[in-house]
Amino acid sequence: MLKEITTPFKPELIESLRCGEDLLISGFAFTMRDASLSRTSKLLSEGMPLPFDLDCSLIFYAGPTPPTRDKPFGAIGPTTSARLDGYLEMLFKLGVAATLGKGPRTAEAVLLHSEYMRVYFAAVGGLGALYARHVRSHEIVAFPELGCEAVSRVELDRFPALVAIDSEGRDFFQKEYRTWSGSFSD
Amino acid sequence: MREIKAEYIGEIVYSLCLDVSFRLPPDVQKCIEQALSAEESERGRNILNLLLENAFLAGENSVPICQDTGLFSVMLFVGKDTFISGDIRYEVEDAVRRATADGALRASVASNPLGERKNTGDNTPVGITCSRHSLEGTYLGLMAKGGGSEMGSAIKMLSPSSGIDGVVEFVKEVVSTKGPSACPPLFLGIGVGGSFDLSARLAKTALMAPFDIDDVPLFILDAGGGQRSGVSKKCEEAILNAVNMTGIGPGGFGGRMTCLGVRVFEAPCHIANLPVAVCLNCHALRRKIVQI
Repeated sequence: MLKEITTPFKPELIESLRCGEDLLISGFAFTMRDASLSRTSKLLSEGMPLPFDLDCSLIFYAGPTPPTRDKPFGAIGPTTSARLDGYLEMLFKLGVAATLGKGPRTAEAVLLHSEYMRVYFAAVGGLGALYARHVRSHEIVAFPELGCEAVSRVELDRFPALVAIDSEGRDFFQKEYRTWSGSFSD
Repeated sequence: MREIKAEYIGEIVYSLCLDVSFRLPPDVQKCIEQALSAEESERGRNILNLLLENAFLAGENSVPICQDTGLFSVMLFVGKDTFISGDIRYEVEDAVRRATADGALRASVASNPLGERKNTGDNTPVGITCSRHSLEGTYLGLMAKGGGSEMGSAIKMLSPSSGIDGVVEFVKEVVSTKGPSACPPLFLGIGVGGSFDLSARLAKTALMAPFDIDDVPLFILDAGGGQRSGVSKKCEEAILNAVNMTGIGPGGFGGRMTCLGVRVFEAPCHIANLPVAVCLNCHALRRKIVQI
């Protein structure tokens, strides 16, 4: 049985999660990526209010395909987290409890997790058709003109992910690469 | 002379756009199945199984394999005594526009890279290359390439003395740094020689040939001015071994199967140069070539 967690994430829950744990995540998350993070950063630098509240939230780095006749979208899945690391401290300062994306993060970003006591969940890239079955609704909350890069609120339904960086800054990826690099066992 | 009308090319591009977005090519499927028996990591095997399940769901329900439905590129390999009449650019872009709307594909093109990066909304403009070969038959290839894997692609001008070792070392360095986020297990297209621009073209073209047969169709090589010698194949093997020792594994979660296939295309180059281009592709190598 996998551990199940639900948003919003309270600090006690975040601090209890351990690097390498497999989880099922339910509840609301915000999708954000390159253009919407850039827009958010610009609003903050101009002293403008943000059209969403990120306290205790989960940010899903994603840009889904458009809605179809009977579904909120066809495919949805994680985009590369490391590419968005420059915005991570901004998100943590806004109260974001966790991010969900794909791939390892930069050394600086790993450190921010222990500094702010936050976690990073990793999912597998290229499973958009499968993951769509774990995302129930989709509602644009800001920057609709950005198309797939708009900020949207999605409802996760037992979305499978792994704790890749925990609140003590332990990094799953670096540990695994040390284990598996080198010659095959045979 | 044989005439091919641009409208006909548009019709095929439209159906190929939908086909590659929803259906994983059979050679790619086969490569993933083979990797399953070679993978030592349990998590790695689970992920490979999920890739197959995802491909099945996408094909059954006509849903995109990945939310990044990619940047479309069209490659024409035109045979001898053949000409294309009409406006290829207009027909191809009209087809991509219609396929994007009808297939509910994601619009992923930013109009002005250094400006406001406004989304064009319909996946145009489309990269179109048209090369000629000296054989019979004209072929149309279409590729949908995701931004995550393209992000890892790289080019380097090596010294001729670097040789195979230099090429392998460069590819390994590229995969080690960029591979984990490029949705492994990867397919690698490598262009060696030619010029700065030709090496990149060769690298991408190398991904077009099926990965489940040893020989590459001659028109693909001939059209690009490329060759695939015994040394090229030796280089492919060396790259595959080196990359599969990085430990990156399926999904980048650790394991043996970091790479599913490597193709090295070579082309004659200047005596002072050894250009190497590495085109990284994710496990969902979405492309198809048809004879037209």
